[in-house]
Amino acid sequence: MIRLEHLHKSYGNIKAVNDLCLEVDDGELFCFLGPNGAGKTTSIKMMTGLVRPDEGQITVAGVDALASPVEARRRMGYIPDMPFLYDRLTAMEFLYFTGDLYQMPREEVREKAPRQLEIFGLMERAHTLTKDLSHGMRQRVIYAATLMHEPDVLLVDEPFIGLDPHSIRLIKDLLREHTRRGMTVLMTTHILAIAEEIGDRIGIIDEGKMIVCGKLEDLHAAAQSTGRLEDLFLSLTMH
Amino acid sequence: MRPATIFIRNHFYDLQHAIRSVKDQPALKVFIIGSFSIGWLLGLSWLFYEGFDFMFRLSDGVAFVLIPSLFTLFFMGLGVMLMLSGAVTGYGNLYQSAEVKRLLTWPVPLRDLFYYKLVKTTMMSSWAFFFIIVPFIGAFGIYRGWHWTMIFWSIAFSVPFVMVFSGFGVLVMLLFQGVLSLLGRVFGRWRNRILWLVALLLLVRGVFWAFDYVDQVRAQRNEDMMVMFRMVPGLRIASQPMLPNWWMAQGVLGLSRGDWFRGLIYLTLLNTSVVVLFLFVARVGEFLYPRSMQRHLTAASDLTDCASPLSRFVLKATPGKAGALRGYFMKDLLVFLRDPSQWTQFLIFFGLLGLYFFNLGSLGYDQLDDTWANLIAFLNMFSLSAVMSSLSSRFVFPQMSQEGKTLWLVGLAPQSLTRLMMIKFVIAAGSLMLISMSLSSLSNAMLNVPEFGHRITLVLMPSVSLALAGMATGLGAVFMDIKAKTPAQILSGYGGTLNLILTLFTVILLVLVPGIISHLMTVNTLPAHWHGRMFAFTTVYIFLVSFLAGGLPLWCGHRALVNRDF
Repeated sequence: MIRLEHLHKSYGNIKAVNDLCLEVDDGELFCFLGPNGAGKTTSIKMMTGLVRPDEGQITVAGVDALASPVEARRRMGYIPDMPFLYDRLTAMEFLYFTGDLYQMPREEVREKAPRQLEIFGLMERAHTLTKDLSHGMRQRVIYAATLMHEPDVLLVDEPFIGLDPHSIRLIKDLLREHTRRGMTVLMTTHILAIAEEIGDRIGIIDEGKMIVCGKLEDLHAAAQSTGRLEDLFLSLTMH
Repeated sequence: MRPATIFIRNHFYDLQHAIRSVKDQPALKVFIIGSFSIGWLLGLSWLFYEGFDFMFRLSDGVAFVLIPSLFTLFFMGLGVMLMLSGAVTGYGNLYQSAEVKRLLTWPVPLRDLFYYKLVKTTMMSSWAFFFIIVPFIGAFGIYRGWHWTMIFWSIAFSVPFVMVFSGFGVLVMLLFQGVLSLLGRVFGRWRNRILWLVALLLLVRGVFWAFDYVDQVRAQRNEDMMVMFRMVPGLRIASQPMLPNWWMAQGVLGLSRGDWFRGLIYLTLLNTSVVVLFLFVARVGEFLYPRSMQRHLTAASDLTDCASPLSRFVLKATPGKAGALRGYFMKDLLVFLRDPSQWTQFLIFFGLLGLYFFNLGSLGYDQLDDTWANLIAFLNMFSLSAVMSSLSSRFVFPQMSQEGKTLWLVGLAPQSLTRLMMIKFVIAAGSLMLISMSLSSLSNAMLNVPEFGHRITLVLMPSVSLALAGMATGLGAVFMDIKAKTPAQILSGYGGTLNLILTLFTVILLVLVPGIISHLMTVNTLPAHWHGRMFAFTTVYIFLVSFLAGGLPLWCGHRALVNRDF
């Protein structure tokens, strides 16, 4: 579960996040939409502890993320939009490194790392340096590493950039599967069709404020629109 | 205009912009960097000046014999380092840079690409050497009262000198890449194993050859330079008239004596060598580069590299408790071993120092009395610490910034960034300590250093390692730059320069005082029964300085990480 209460964050005179409140339940896939510079990344960074809010409270998987950031991180996983890996480690070595960072017992890593690579279709490239993998493969290595410690909450930033249709399908199925098992997923995306397809609820943020939040039908009702999510999004964020 | 000329011209534009942008930089940064550069040039010039003065005070005859040999050996040493630097920089410029991959998609003739990259490599690999060449020649010129026009002639000699050695380094690198490519086609996945075996055999053969050569030189009795050659066996190789370092030394000294014919002959020889060498390198490059670059672009990595046994060990049998320290240690070790540009620099610096220390016996220093042995031991400690200072700036300072790219993982792992900084510190301090203790023990053993000096070394070198590692890691966290793409960008900032200056200052503070005390104990200026008291005082001094020099930046780094938004 994720709970954000009255979050504020300013950079100089610019209010990046302005009184943001949000609650995402266990087993829910929440899509976080907004135009560029709306405050999505800052919100995610505040949840992960990389940016401190000026005001407000953040609870992740029942843990106060501001008071106990290390404990909150233990229950969280984050997948960035740009897959930066250590170029001179192999995919398998990278998973072992991740296991060490999350203090997973070595036996568990030995069992889970090959399984994760198998799930993401990377077993044949397990011993290839990550610099020699394609963008999509590198992104899949990140998924494999992030999900290895079985986080309760998964934050995903633009998960479909540079992925081929097979990988997109794989990721969509995987996110659904994990939410069914109780994982909370908060995902930002600019691909509105995917948000429409897999999101349990959708929130649209603009200029640091949540302007609408709810199921797709609720959003249409609130905006008195009947068209596609794209029309709704454009009408709400047009300045 | 030829593409090569356009590329080089663009770099000069970049340089112009960089010079113009100096006025936009913080005044403190400009002041610190400017003062350090001027201080370096003046300080080194003074040291060289005093050295020349010492030689001429011995007698003009001795100086007459020593000076040409010194020039020859000095330029040989610089030349070898330039060659290594050219090979490493050339590899980065021709095989690893994003620019070359872009240029290869443009309609640029390969020969132009080579001319451009050769000039760029020479500039990148040699600019720092002018900070050694200028004070050396300058100090000699001032001492001998040269005419001011010698400044021009010294520069005129230095430019082709650095180009010829740097170009030769690129040539060797290209040939090596060509051989690698050929071996890859013939032996496939066995290539690296065969290469390691050949390298090992060559190393063993080289060691035997070196010992034979030294024995041969020492056995000769009928040479004019017998004494010099016996003292410094490498001088015989350096004095070969076919080598550019010899032309450089003879040319500069010839001109300084007013022997214009001799000077200009050697200058012409250097310049024509550069032209011929660059043409030759471009031809060789045209032939070898496309194939070897293909190998770089298309070959999938495999685990037949030097780190693969280590990797298998990591994956299958790593003992110990799971944790971030082990993770970072193994990760850093694997990345280090798989990056030739990193380990070759380590190998060059510490290998050269190791060779020098190992050869102290050849110089007969072990026969010297305690006073000299003690002085040389502390000079060795200083040179070792100075090398550690530059390497900690190069490798340790950028560590925290480089992890910035993986903040999505390391910043979100269940541990604080302070812990990450402390892990980096432990790994850096451990590595520096291992190197410094081994080399300083070797130096002491070769010199038969007196007991007091030996005991001080055992306290001093671990403390220097801890102080340098703490300072570089802590300042690296304070000046963390997560947007920088390369270590060079991280180092060229204000923090990188400050770190280099402060680490050098720390080294001076840490080595100078114990060195003076040890010297006073050795020459009996301080009474022998003060031995215990002075050892205790020196130990406390070393601990205090290293604690402040290493601990304070780590504390500042911790505060910066806690208060910073990423």
